[in-house]
Amino acid sequence: MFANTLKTPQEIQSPFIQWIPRNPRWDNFIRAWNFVKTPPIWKALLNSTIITLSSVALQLLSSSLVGYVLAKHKFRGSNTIFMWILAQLMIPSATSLIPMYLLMNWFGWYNTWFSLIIPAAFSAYTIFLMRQFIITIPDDILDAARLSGCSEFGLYWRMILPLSKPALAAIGLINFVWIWNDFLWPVVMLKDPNLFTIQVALNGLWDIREGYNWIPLVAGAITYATVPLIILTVITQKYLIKGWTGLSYAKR
Amino acid sequence: MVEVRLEKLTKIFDKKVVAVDNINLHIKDKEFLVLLGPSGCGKTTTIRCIAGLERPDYGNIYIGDRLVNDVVEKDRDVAMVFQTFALWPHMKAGDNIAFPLKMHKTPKNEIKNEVKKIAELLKISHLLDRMPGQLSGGEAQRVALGRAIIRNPKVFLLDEPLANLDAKLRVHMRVELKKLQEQIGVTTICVTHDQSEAMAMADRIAVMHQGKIRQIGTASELYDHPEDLFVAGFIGSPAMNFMDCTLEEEKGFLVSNAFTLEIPKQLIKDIKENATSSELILGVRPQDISVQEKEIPDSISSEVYAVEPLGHETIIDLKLGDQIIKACTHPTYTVNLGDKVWMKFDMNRMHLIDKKTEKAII
Repeated sequence: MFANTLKTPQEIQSPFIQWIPRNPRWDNFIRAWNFVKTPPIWKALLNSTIITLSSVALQLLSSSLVGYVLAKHKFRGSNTIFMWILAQLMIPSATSLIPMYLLMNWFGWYNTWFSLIIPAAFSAYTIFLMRQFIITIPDDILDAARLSGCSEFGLYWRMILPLSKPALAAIGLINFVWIWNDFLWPVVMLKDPNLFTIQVALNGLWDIREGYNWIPLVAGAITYATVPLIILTVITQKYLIKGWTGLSYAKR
Repeated sequence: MVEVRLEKLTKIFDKKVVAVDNINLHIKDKEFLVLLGPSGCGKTTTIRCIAGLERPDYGNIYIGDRLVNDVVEKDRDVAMVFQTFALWPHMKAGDNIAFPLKMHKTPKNEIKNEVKKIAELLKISHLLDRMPGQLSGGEAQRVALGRAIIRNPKVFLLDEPLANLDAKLRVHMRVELKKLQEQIGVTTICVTHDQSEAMAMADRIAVMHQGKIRQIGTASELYDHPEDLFVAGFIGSPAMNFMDCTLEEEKGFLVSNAFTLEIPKQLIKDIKENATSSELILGVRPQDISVQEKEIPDSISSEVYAVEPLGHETIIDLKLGDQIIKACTHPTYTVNLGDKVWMKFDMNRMHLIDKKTEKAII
């Protein structure tokens, strides 16, 4: 993708693959930036960032709260609730597309970011993962905090959240990539180009034909869409590895 | 004055497992009381009830004069040290200690002074900036203690505080704990399954078994005058030897299929007054048996089955009928396997237990 941006259209289509083009055309990056017009690429990237960050933040908040309650509090019906949440995982997402569309319309959220952010703020899978993580935090730690005068919410805020950092980071990153790359749902819900996410904006490029220069410019635009994910992975890789090598609490 | 009183305390799990069964206990001001019992006897549940981490199903808990049944844990003014120490792994040791004060909105500079004072008391001033993961077992325990005592709790609860330390440190820390408790003068309830720990630390020991308190008393009371079969068998190491026997009243003998033992007249009278039948259990501590190479009056003949030289003493396992009787001897005492020897019980330190009621007669 990156290399293709630096090539001419002829070089891209050539059967002899050049991994590093002989004459890299760096100006393609600038042209690719200006190439996306509805909305401009900076706007689409900004939209995607706002939507994805707020979705992930809300999702982590909701799933850690629900996960904490399900993991550490036994109350009448707690297992039933957990089973209902698990049952959610078995519904294929495609089947919920139209009902969700109707629901969002009914809320009056069509063509707003609410329709993207609010459904993404609650995820059965994330709740399940958080519950499984929090269940491994020893009860003694929480009891000790209770005896020290910590309130129930204080327990969540001062103990569960900081101790769940590796899980939150791993889950947050995976969901960030997922939501960032989502195309179908935003393209269904959004009409106003000014609200478009980067993926929807890239889709608009199919309608434009700007001579033979078209292909490297698309490659450039896609590269721009990928850069934030790469940066994020580099920053959080420490937590990512911790998260993947065992999503369980361990004495640190 | 902080006394703790438990009245008819009962805790039932899942509507069928009776963890704590109708316990009455009165812990005096500044007393160090140890709840001693095998695992699963309900001792930890008992102190968790006092802490407020479990709600009792029946009965009352008083801390001082206040009935605390419906008081939430953070308002009970109790502090607890957990078996796992339960330090908060994401906070420095100093922040761990400061946390209870922080939760009670103590001014910052006051917290700093208090932490400093406690750290000096526990000799952990140099550890305050470390994370709990970087502390050794003994250090982590001191931090846990500091966290517990910083708020001057009314009651100090210790749940198996020494179980996670290595053997040498355990012997050292039990003295330290006792000293610390005397120094700060706080009513303390400690749970342990280790009798030597209990005897070393406690002012009084309550022996628990199957959710009930079997006997309360000082270490020597429990050792010298156990009130029932369980306490007799649980306290003392190696455990007391038990032999089934019957009283033959006219001859004044205790008879079993392996031995016949003449006992004093006065004893027979006591047995007759207190026992429900002539079926008895004779209990003799290994320390109260002397092993003889020649037959002497009132001795019982047996055969050496095994020898356990422990250094400070030698335990000789003796075959008596189909039973093995353990006897402690001087470490220099030598004997060979299969030797025929005679054992003599110390008549003044024998225990007789009613087989039916399992209550001690003497």
